[in-house]
Amino acid sequence: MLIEFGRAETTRSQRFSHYFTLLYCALALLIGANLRDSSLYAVTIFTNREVGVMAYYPANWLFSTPDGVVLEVQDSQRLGYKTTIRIQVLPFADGMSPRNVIDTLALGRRTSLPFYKILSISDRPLQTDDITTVVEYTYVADLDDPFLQLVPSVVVGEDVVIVRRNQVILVSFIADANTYQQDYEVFQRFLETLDY
Amino acid sequence: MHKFFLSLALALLAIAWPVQAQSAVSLDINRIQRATVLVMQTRTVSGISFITCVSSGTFVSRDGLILTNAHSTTPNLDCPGDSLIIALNVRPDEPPVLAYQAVVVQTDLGLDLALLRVSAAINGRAIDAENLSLPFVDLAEINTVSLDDTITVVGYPGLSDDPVAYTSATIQGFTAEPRGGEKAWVKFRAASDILSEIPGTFSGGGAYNRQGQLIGVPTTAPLARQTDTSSCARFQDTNGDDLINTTDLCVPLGGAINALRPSDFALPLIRSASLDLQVTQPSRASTSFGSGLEAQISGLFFAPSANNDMPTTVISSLPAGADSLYLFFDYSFMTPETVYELRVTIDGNTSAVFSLPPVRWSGGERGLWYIGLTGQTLPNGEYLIRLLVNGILAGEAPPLRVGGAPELNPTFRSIQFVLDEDGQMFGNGYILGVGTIVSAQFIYDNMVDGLEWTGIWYFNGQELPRVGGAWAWGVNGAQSTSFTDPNGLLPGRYRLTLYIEGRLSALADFTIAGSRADARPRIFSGERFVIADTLDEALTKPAANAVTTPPESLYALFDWEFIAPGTLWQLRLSIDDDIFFDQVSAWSLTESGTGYAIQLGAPAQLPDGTYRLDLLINNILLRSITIEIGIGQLSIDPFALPEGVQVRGTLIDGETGLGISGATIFILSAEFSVTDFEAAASQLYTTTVSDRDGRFQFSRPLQFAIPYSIIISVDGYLPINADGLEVDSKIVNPLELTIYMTRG
Repeated sequence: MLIEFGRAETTRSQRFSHYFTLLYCALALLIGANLRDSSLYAVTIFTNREVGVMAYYPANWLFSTPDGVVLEVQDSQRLGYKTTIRIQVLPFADGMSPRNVIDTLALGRRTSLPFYKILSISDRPLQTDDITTVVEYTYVADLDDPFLQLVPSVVVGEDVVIVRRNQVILVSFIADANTYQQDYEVFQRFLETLDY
Repeated sequence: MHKFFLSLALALLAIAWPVQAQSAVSLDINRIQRATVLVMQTRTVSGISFITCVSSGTFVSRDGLILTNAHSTTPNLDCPGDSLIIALNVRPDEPPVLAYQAVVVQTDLGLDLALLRVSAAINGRAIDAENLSLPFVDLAEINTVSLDDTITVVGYPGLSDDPVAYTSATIQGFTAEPRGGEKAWVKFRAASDILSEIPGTFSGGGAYNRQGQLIGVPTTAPLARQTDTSSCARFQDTNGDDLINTTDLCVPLGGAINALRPSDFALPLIRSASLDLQVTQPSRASTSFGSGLEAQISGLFFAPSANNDMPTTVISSLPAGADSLYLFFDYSFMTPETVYELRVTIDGNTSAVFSLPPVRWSGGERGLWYIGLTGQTLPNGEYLIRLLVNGILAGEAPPLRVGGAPELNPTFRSIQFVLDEDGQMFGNGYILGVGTIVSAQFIYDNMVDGLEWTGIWYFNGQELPRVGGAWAWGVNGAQSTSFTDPNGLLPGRYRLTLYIEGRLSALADFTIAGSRADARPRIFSGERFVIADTLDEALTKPAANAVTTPPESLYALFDWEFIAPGTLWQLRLSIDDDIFFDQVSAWSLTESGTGYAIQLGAPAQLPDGTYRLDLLINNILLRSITIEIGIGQLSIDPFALPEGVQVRGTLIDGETGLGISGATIFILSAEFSVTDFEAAASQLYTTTVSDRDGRFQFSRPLQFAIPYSIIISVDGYLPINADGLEVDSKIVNPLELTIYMTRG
């Protein structure tokens, strides 16, 4: 004998409730994904009319303008070496080549950055079709606090040398060697928004 | 959400905040210890570095200025090194850790003070001094302490094996000298069980008053050349023979220290170095100190007091209860590297209170000097005082008895000189212009008519005609004697000695320089400031007394007349009434001339301020001029505040209990709250990064009664933000925080 109980036809409103529940879930997922993207890719605009540079840098990165630097932003929430993007403007005269700029930078960094070593030098187009010279390098980053047991980090950096009339816009990206590739996306997005 | 984090943070801070509200502690020994460094002078031979001298030192600015002794840092026979290494007290109970290289930026060899600047990391990497934020101490004048006050002496007791040490001590007296006045040296005695005596490696360290301000530098100058091996240490194979023996370099240790050089003397050096001011004297001819001859001490005698660096009278006894005694003597062929020592015995027992350990010579090459025992009542007894120069006995004063009632012996005292021309008096007692008749006025007491008296005049050490005879002017009063040179008195150093019955009773020196004027002779004239880049330009450009755009270079010029070569003169430069250059030197040019030049320079531009040039002889201010540059006063460095509470602690993963490494912690400036923070570095008061154990330490102390905000935002953890982080003087310093982070 088959006994059935508790089974009843679902009403129309119940069916709609189910559909709405599913719809709400999908919407929540979409909103969540959107919020995540907004958080991950949120940016803050930076404009310096005097130098003629505009860019969008990741929101919540620590912003500063040390002497001789147009813009420096750092991912201060990161553990270990703080991934850094920096813009500097350097003089550039007729007859100079980007290589001269790179050599001058290397001579200065040789004394201030331990184990500074150039990994590669190449030419690369930007989104604007401008050809830039790109230098990849590495060094050991050490913080100047002798009272803490800070372990130095091996970092990898990239300088993008953009020649603009009698100036060079030097855009640098420096990250821990272990997370360099992963963080590089952020720099690419930054370069894509860079207007000069 | 913010409220949740705020309450969480406050709860955590409340747990971690030590409930140790004690009575106000003003001596921040932790900060003083961290500011105390070990200075190693090293020398590199054939690629191998070895230590040549070791001393202590103290950071006196956040950007790495270190105050220490000159004898252990500037190259000399005892310390022949060529570079300086700085070791820091990273943990209070551990030996110091090599951290920096340094260079000497200011030095005064005679005062035995040097100012070093951190120049590179230990591995040679260049350092941006502007970004340094090192612990440092504030300086106070020696007048903030007095006899019997308790002080704290800090330094390193060993050659880098021992952690920084400190001990309390009691001020026992003061030693007076012409350069430095009544408190040229401060004498102290260690009063702690930790260190029964202060070892020589404390030399260059610091002594602090109750407020934790640096009041002096413990100083002794070791004599490795003359002394036995017990006062130096051999621990390196410096000659490369694979053995460590007597043929290797011995690092001088120095003897026990009981004297401080007051930090007042370091202020001009610090002011000059912190403003990066360079003073050069293109006009100055080089002088040869010592001429290679052995230093000599002669004519030792006692005086009860000094007036304008001259003895008031000559004594052979002092009554009971006397509180000052001055030993005067002539010296010659002394150099700033000469080391002298005063050994005092009372009734045959060595007196550590009145003796002075081996220290550097701060006077000139030759002249009259004194060492005064002041500031304390002299015990009764027979005093025997010996002077040692470079470890060898150089002079011994006749015994002096202290005790009993004042003796009423015939006495001459208080000699003063004037120029007597046409019945008019010129001069101020010790500096006279050129003329033909000099008159000495003196006071006499307890004289008896008929006593034989003699006055002997000297010019540059050469005896001139004597005066004297039988006394005929009564018991007490004032008298004068004169010396005439019809051809005119030559510029130079003169002396009058007065004897009674063949016994020296009074002595005084005076200088003839400049042309006759009013109370002060006209020695310097035409003094002016000139804005110029070169000396040639300065000599032709007009004088300036104010300039709105700060220049890179400024010249001070003056003319001079009738100054004998060898005459001691003093050049003093100050900014906003703070002296940054003070030099006493022997005149090295012709007797008269124009356009003596002093150049003030700075790497970028001279800082804003009111600059003053003072010209002095025998401590008497002769000429002075000022110039206003920029806004006419120095700007204030907001970082130049050593006081406050140092915050440090540990950042811990709440789940694992392990320290979180590499996390950044922000403290916002007082004008910003957490909600105001826009991730701009300009909003930060100080920041730190946790080390491999999760430990962190803010380099900049929190000021009292100012509300700060703290932000800890780390990838993978829930953020902790809190406003209203405020400290007061009752908080235990340093403030230790233990902060647990929740993963999220």
